Amino acid sequence: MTELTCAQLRATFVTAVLLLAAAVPAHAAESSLCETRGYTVGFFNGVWNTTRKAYDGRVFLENLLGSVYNGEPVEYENFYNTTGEENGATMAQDIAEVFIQRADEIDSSGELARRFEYLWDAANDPRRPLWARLVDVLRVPIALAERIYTAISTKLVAGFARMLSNPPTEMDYAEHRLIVDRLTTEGQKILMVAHSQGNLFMNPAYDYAKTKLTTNSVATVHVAPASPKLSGPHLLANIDLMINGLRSFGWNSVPAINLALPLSGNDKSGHTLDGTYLDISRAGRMRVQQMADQGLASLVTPPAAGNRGFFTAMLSWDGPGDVDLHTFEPTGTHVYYLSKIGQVGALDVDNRIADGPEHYYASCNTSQLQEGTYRFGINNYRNATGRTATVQVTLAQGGQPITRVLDVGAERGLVGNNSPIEVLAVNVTKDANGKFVATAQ
Amino acid sequence: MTQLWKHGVLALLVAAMVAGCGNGSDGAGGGTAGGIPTPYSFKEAFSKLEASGQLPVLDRSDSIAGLDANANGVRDDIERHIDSKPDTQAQKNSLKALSRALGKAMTVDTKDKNALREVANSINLAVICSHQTYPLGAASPLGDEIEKFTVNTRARYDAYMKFNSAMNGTGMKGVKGVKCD
Repeated sequence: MTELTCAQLRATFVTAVLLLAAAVPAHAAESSLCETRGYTVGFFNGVWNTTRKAYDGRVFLENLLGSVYNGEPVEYENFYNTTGEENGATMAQDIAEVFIQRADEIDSSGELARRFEYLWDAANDPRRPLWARLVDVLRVPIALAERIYTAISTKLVAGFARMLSNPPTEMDYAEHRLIVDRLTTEGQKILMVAHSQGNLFMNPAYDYAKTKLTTNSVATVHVAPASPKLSGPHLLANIDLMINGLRSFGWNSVPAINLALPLSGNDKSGHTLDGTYLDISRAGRMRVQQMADQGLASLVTPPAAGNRGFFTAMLSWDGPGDVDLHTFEPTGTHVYYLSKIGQVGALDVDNRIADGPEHYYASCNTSQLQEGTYRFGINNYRNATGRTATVQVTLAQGGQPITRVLDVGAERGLVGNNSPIEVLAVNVTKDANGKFVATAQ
Repeated sequence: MTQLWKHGVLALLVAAMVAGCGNGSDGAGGGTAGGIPTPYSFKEAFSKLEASGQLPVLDRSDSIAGLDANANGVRDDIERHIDSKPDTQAQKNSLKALSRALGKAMTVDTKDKNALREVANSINLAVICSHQTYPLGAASPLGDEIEKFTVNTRARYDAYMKFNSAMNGTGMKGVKGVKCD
């Protein structure tokens, strides 16, 4: 087969994408294995949030905004980010050192410094029960504990200011872009909600989403933003010591304060999501809800290039060239650009020029979905040598997407179709109740 | 000179009596906090809080995992603390699931992406269940409490923050219809 013939053949298949995709019934009409298209609320967490705290914030938001809007399902996803410059958790080490140093100043025996549970509350509010009981027994003013809080919060503000001066790089939010790729490909309406430093990650994600959409299908809500860059409504409380504290580090261009709140007894920082902005007893919560509702109301359904699935696989790469996604279904059916329809799913997005994405989805229809192992591979078909590919599998049942980053390997053309580079596999089984469950290998 | 000596002895006696009285305390040695005299040393204060049940007696061993005699994945001290709560069994289970997941986070190989993902999913489910089983607004502070009691030593803190750092940039999709019992 000559190169020209091959290209013509491929073009024929590409032209037929919609017809082929339509051959596998859309999930909306099939069953309840997947949600129908609707809204996704993406949550970008704030400064000093552990993974747990970030997930907690997402659920808090879900409780506020609900699971249905305008008759369509609303899904929630975290876009997690940590505070610190690298994978060595530098900022966390700094905070630990500050705690130990200040604790030793208060208690020279070292007993306090070894009790790290006191660090956690000192970082948020030393008036919480742990500290309150201690100072009560010792009969010393709470101001003593507040010394540690002040030292830690100063460190946090300094770290935040450093992040503003050196914003996250593409490497930091590469996986966030993959989520945006999936959501825009599958035709979701997207509301991004960022708190605190999450705004530094949301802004590039929003800009990126705009490049993928031709419709008004993404909106933002900025809660406690530090960056002057706003692409939607914002909320900043007068009692937010973290954001207002940035001014002392020379960062004077924070957005205007537009929320007056009474002080609370459990969030001295006036900055946390659950303790201040979504506090069930104060006005911030309603304002966030109003802004989010306005954002949701403004969104229009974008055209969908790809279907939603019981699970989906997305391939993207970093530049020009043609990299192909290959799927081997449990019965051995090979789904790829020359054979887009499988027994279970289909390759419904094919890209031959640059960047991707390519997209496979497994049917949501219980009578079509098969138990067994689904294997995914890639092939550098043409002109992509040296590129890095990312494959991300997302499960309709929720949880963390499975992401693999790898070199696309040498250009192999048609020869590579039969032996793509293996990337990952997904097992589909039925649990004791007969419910389909997917797990990554 | 004699007067000065007498006054000196008197002053020492008074000082000794005051120190011995411990500011009306129950005879503990006393100490200082940031230079301020206190009726108890920090060690004594912690013991007092622990004895009265205002502070759980936490495992502070060198081991990151800590003691888990019944091998259910929840550190014994945390389990005792959760069991002492008047909460429902489903509520307690959600907190135990969280502590179990945080324990895994502290010991996971951060280079193993599958293992990291498994831990992240465990934390996610535990958080969902705590919100599902507790009244609105109650789950977050309880999650904070379990986190700080579980991650209560420098070594555990370092390990936990290494996990969180490894999670940087990742996503997590909410899970619907989770059964929490």
